[in-house]
Amino acid sequence: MKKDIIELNNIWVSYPEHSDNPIKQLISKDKKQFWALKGLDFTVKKGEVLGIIGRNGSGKSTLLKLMSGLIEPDKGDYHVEGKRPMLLSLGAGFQPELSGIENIYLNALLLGNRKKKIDDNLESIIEFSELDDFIYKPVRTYSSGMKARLAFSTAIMLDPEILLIDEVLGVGDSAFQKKCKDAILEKIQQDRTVILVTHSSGLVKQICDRVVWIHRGEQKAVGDTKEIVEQYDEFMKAKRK
Amino acid sequence: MLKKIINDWRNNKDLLYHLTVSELKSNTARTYLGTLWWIVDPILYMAIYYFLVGVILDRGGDDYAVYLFTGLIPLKWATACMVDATTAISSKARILQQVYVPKLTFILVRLGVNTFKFLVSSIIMILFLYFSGVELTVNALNFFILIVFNLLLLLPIMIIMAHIGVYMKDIKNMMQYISRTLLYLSPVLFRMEDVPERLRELLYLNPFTNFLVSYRNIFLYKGQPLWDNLFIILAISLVLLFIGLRILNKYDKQYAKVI
Repeated sequence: MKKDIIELNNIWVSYPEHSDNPIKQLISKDKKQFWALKGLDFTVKKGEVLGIIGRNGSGKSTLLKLMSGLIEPDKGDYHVEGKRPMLLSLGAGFQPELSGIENIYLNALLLGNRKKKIDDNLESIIEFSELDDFIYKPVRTYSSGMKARLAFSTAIMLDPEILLIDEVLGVGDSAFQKKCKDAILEKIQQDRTVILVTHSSGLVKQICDRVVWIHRGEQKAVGDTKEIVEQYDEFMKAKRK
Repeated sequence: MLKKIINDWRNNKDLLYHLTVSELKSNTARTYLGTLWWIVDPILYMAIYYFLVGVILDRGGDDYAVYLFTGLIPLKWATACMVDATTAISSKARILQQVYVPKLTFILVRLGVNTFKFLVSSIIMILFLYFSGVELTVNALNFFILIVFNLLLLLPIMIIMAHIGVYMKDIKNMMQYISRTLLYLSPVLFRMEDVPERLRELLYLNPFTNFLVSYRNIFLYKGQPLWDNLFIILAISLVLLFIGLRILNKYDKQYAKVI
């Protein structure tokens, strides 16, 4: 029996309701809230590949924010064994005027790595990104595909304990997409914990052991990939009609 | 709370350094003068005011240039910090939506960038004083202590500005006017002796007045800083710092929801 690495116990998360009149919002007593997550309750086991599926607006992004420690639940507890997972983010902290190398440092530091570790991994990051001489040029001269490659390379080469992946595989051309997928598959082989968050069931079917389906902030179903994905696909098909 | 701050510091000092350097580099990238701007900027700034008061209005007296310079440079440091602080957290939405970073980091980066520029300006200021024939005494070494006192006042103000800036974008516009007002409510362009007696006391309620008078005492008049007043300001600063850190700590996980 594998041990639980992440635990969500009856998690509720709300946002303050946006109002067009900020003054009114400031003084009014009854603060309106929008509940983005309503009572999520599941665990992630060490070394498993968990898929989280749901339509747009189902609360996936909020769940990601919660799991990477950006926000706290209003109710319920969230517990992580060891270092909290980091989103394989697509270059959130890129500074366009700085060179690729400088941005590797900046982004990797933002992801919570030590400088020493980045020094050690710099070469493999550059190699994986296939940016060659562009790595010395300012990031503003990069195409969007190149930026995504740099970001993905930085994140994956620093070998995070838990991979939190947010539909990241849409980056670069198809050759690079395959390389990303292979890199993730390799992590899975090494018994890394992977959490894949997406609205499409394609990749989930291929790599996930278990799936959590959320719908309008509620946990609709948890369980075996095959079973849940079938239900989800059917549900989506019914919606389209 | 203290434990978290020490822990955050240990984990983020490399990040802090890299963010500060990259912000400094980005600011001057793609300009023709590049890093020369750090030197040109204060000189132009001071030339404008000297031209206005010293030349057009023909006021200020013989040593007006050195008097003006020793006031403008420290006040510009303070106002730039306060204006920049209003967007320190709110402008980092993209980062804050994706990775967890202690919010104090972004405020310290803005403080670091402006303090670096201030130190460069100070070197120019001291060179200028030297070539203008101002005799510097050992009292001028109090400059370093004054900087620390000044930093400890600016940091809590910046924290509070950054916090308000997340919930009320108006604060940035307001701060631009407040900083302009501060320029006229502090003895930068005028001398304390020229202010009517009953107003003079009121001007000392502005903490920056005490700093500017102190900077001038040590650089121009071979004197001491206004220690008594500065220690009162220090005590208030530390209380404000405590309050500011409490606020940041309390809202740490709220900012990502509203930005």
